Amino acid sequence: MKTNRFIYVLGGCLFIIGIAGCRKEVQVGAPVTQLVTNTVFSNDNTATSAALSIYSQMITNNLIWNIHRITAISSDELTSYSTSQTSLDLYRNALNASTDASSINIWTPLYNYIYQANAVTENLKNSSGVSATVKQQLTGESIFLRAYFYFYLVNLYGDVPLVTSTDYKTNAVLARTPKAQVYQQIINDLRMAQSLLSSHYVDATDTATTTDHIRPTNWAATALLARVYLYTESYDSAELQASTVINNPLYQLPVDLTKVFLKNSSEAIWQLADDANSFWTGDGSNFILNAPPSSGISRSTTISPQLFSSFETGDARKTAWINSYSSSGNVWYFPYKYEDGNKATTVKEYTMLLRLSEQYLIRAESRAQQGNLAGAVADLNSIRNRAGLANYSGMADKASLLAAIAHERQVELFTEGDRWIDLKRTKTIDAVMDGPTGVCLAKGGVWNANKQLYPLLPADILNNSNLIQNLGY
Amino acid sequence: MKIFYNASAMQRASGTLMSSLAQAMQKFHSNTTKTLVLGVKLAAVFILITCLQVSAKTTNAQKLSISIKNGSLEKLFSEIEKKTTYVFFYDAAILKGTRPVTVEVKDATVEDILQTSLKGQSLEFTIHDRTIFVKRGEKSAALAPGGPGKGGPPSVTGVVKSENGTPLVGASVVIRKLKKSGMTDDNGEFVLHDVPDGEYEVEISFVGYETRTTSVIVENHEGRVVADLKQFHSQLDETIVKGYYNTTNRLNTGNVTKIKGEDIQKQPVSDPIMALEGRVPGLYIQQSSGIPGANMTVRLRGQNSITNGNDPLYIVDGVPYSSASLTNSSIGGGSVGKPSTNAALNTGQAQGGLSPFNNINPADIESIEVLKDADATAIYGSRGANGVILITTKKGKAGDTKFLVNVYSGDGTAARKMHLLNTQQYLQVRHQAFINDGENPGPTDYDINGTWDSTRYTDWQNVLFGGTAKFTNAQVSLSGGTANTQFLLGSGYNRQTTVFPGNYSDAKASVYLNINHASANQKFHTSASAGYVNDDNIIPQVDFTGNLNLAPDAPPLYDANGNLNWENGKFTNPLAATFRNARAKTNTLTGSLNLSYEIFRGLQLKSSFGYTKAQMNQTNQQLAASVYGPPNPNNRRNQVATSNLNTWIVEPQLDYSRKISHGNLNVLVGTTHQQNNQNSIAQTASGFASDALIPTVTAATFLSASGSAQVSEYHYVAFFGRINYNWEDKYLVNITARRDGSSRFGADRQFGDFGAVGAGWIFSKEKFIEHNLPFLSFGKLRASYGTTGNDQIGDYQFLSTYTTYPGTSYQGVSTLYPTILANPYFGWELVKKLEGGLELGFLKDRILLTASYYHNRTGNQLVGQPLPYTAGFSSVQANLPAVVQNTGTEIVLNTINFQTKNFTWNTSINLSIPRNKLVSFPGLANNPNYKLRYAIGKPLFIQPLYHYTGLDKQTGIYTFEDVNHDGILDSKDFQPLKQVARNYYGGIQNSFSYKGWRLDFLVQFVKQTAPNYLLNFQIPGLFGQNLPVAVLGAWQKPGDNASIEKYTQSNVDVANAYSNYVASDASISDASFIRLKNISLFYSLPEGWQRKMHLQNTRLYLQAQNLFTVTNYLGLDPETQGWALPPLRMITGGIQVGL
Repeated sequence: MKTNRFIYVLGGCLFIIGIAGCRKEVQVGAPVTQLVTNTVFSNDNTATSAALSIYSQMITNNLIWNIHRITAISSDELTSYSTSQTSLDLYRNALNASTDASSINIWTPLYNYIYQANAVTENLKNSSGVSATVKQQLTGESIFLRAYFYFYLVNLYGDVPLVTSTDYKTNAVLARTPKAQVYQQIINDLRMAQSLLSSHYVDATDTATTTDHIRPTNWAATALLARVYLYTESYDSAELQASTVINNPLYQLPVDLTKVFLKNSSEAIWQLADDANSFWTGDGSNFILNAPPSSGISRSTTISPQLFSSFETGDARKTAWINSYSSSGNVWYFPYKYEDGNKATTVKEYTMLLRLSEQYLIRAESRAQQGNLAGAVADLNSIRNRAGLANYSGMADKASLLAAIAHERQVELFTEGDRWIDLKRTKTIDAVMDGPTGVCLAKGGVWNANKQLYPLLPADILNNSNLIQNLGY
Repeated sequence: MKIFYNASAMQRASGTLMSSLAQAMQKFHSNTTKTLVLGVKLAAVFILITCLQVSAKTTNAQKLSISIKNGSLEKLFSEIEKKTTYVFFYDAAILKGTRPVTVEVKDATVEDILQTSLKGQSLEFTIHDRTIFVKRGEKSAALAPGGPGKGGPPSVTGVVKSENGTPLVGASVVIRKLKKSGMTDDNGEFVLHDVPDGEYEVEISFVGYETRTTSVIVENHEGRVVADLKQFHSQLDETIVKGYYNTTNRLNTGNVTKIKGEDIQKQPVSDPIMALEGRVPGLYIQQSSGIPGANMTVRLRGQNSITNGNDPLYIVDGVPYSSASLTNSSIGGGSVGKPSTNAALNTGQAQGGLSPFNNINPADIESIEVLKDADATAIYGSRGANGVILITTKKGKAGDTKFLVNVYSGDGTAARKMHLLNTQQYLQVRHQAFINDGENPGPTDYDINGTWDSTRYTDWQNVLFGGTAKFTNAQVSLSGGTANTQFLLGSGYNRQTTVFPGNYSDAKASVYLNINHASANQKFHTSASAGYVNDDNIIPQVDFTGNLNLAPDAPPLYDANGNLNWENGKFTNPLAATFRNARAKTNTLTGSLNLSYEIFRGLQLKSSFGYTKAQMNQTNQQLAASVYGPPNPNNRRNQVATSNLNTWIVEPQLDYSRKISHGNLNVLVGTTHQQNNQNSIAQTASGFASDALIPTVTAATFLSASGSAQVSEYHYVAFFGRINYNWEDKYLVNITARRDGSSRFGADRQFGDFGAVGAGWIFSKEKFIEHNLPFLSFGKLRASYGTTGNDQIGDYQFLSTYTTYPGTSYQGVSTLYPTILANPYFGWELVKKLEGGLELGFLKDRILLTASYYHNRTGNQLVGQPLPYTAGFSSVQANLPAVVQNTGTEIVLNTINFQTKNFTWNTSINLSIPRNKLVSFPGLANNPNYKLRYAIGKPLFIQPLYHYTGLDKQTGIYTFEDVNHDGILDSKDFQPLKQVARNYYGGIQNSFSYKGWRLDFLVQFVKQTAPNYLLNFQIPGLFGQNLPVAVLGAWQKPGDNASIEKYTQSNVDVANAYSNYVASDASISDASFIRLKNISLFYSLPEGWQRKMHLQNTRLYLQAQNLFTVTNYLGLDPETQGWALPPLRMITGGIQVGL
């Protein structure tokens, strides 16, 4: 029977295929609704999508406003009306590891972003499909972002595990790295980012120039490096880096204070484009009050009496960057650097992450520390004059000048996440917070120096026996 | 008349059992010569069959040397038997008068010797395998002038075949009236000579088959009998399908339970898996709801995996059948819920969605085999961990073309209802609550502030699910064929409505086709089956049962105009749900083709091909009238989803059998190539200008994707083998192994090796047992050990992938973020299965007892291993060396209590006693996901809850144990004191038959604990909420010795204590039940009537499901639990007619 032979042959063939083809056969095609990592990093477009995602997530998760708020209520910038337990504990400087650590919501997203930044860096390194310029820009941005995130981690938590790869087996058992070493990594990263990043602002093609200052450039890396050198007391380097930024004619201090936080402001070194569909920034929608402060988290803060009273008479910032809401005889002051709340209908503002005036203040402080008091005063005056204040007229000694610069930082950079970490950096935090006239008591708490660092997540300590909790938790 | 047999030859060929059995038979029948003859004949036939079996595989012709001078033929035959493995088979009478022979040969074949010796002796011989049949020369008779037929010597000829059309060789044919007997030859043909004209009863018997008596009319010296014999129903010799190979209960080295199609078809259910409830030891099936099409949770021998799939592997005619519901997990299937891949039986939440098995027509099923131990499941490798359920569909049978119509219909009602408060009792609770609270009813307390009529009483259970479901089932089939080609065509229609108000139904139409063909030389076989099922399921979006707690004095549901009564917006009308329907149309196509070719004797090349396509279209529609107020376009909604699943499989195999020494060796090798493609997408549309536009999704003003589209691909490839050696049906060894690869794992972990060894010892065949324990007709000890795996995790989980970030875009670019922390190194969960079994048969197998003990340990558990956030993610999928242990004892007892010609009574009892334990779980204490859920040394089913310590007599508030004495009741005070699990379960089936009547009933029993009514009811005393009568008699004043907390409608402390009570061990209680699961009564029309009316297999019947339940369960139904519609009590009547 011929059919039989046919079947025999067919079956035999299938048999051979079966034995020979095993390994290939269990390879499935790429999933349709997800992209395999190799595919993502095989061309410019999807690689860009992966790299830009961290900005999207920073916006969606409201990371920047969160840093602004928690550091502002931990310090003396804002009065908190929130009745949420974590907000209360932040405000009274009485954080509790088991109940508050995870709801502070800094540690978890930052390490997740660091993972993503590391993934972008690693995958780009192995990629052959992404063009060289795109690869260079995206790698630079990822390294820059990692440095940016570590800057906040070391300042909020102290020594932190230094994660520089995506290997979870290694990362899951990392002990805390001394702060100095983390700073060294930040500096190395920023140095590298300087060499990789474009000197013009790029659009989604990663190469073409755009007016939006919403992607890090080598200027952003330089500006952050200036800040990091200041924090690590490398004043000459800090001055050098800050000067580089200040000398760039692209950046100017707008005379009109209300123009500082606009999108693509001439002061903006790096901004984040907020959600294109909602028209407002995180700060704008969560700080601006159109009702008495809420007991929730959003719109639960007002300018603190300490901050409010620290402005010199005639300081235009007090009126330009602070606004009030009144109701039944009560007046509540709130940060108004961003004027667009959630009633906005067009995008006018972007969230500012690095701006020029900070560079002047960094240089002023670095110069003062190095004894260049005249230079320091000149930089200080650039900021004072813009705020409608006369030139600095205080004592000309270094200490007085440093105090004046610190004060200038308080009123210039308020609710931008600087005050809390400045106090710690300059070791003035106990003096400000502690004691019968200290801020902490005024906020209803009792100062404990250990509380200047936030607690690590207890779950992470459970899952990584090499992690040790901060003192006092 | 005397039958000759040669004992020594027989012993050589068949072992001692046969002879002793024959001797026993001889003794048994020694009272009369007649029966002796028959008995011996039967024994001989039995031996013959055994010989055939034993020697069937030997191929080469034997050569021998013989030297006989003037010896009788008898002597020659015995010489040949001594020198070869051949056995002679003949009627001793025929040797009378034969002349002596002289044979002097060297190296001659048996055929040559016999041909020479029998020449001219009017004898002829045929060789069938190792047996030589010698009979009178028929050729001469046939060639004689006027042979059979007109004018010739009168005779009866005939053919005897088995049910499936194969000729039976050596069957005995007797006409008692004439004391004439004969035997069938190689082709099943027989001739009885010298039968005068007239009508005679012919008795045909064959070992292993039921004896058949038929009548023959001899006219003009000619009569012809065509008979087929039914295989004898000794359970031990039933064929058991073990997937790639078959065996029998007797020779099985593993643990397989077979449920026959007729037992499934006796039950008025539309889902064949539902029909297995209570029938299979080790298999627990929990219906999620009595709504037609609702899914079930099926667990075979417990829960092996902590977090992944625990479903058995289902195979329909060789093609894997997905146990996952096709219902879209984003929009769900309305009142049957959303599918959950790993709904554990212990959560009180059963597997939701529509059951995929609702798309198999129970009427098309020939048998379902449940494979349990390593021996039976290891050949399924990485998919056999949770057992294997094989569904075999019906095959065509040779014979006259038969047309069978089977129709039944009936009514169903909810099997159970709760005892709830009547209006008077309800109001008493409410009043007492206000008294306790020291408050007066407010303006929204409509039930007692005079707004509602306080004399009104409605039993809402009657209104909401007290209706009658109509069940209609009609099946037609046409079957028949020749010995070489058979066919079966079938078509069915099944429709079931619901007990709910509103027009809901599940209608199923199906077509089934099977064709088998064998080539004339029987070397090539093919079998093809195809089935198509169309199911249209329309059910409410919410289960009306969930409103059973409506206040008994709640307003009527319809106003005077017949419209829904909303009490001007003050009343949520439960019937609003009648305007929210969930409809799912499913098309399922299954096809399989099996080819086999015998390359040479003993070696077969086989290949099976299979394809399954299942496709579901869902539309969940909500009309404007479902919401109070003027019609609002935004209240008109439509959720639509489409899901597709395609599976194809190719399995080429080689099967080789041969006899080695005293045993049979069978070797099977094969490969599997399987691919699944699956996709599902759902959308939600709202804002329709009119109800009529709702089906037109494009008419919506708002349309969005629901959940993300699912598209996945699964590839599977395997190489498997089996070696079986059977030494004289006494010592059995079965080795199975599989190497398989699954695309669900990373490149380094795709392939795994699995295997098992099973061994059996039929000790009843040992002489010392036979002599000392004659009452023991069968005794087997078996044991198996092996490994299987579980790959029931989602596709692509090992892959490092990016997913579209659902948040904002950046610079106009939608962004991508890492989906999970990829771990390419995880592999399958591994189950090590150990089993021992003892099988005993007493009194000629009238009592069959099987006891099995299993000890399964599942390690390598795939769980989310928690990570510190510094790793970027909180967990990674990884193999954890946690070990889950399932042990258990299963006992099956089958007895034939009565067996007479007219009356038989059989009983079958099965009992399963499962135990589960979490043996180890490294890092459990630090695992945030599991530390509160599980405890080492305890079952996975434990429920860490507060320990209820009674009612405070002074305050009337529930109290609980504060384990850590910190004054706060929180999760640190949970104690794993109770579990939600089954202690034991089983079923008792009885079958009675009396003449044409047959009565079967199955009682299912389950000893278990489960969440009680507390899970669903809120604190007694609240507005608008009816309660079980169990809450009556609450605490009222200090000193009251009550068990129910004081009623309240506003007291926060009392309410907190109540919610702690719900979260305490008081919420777990006994949910054992005994249920008359199935009862069926058949009446077959007498054969005579049927013949006159040209009918066959015609019968009338009554069938009932879930007829009654005995339980102390504090809740609605102990099986479905919670507020799901209980299983239906279905009573149907039907008729089957065969033409």
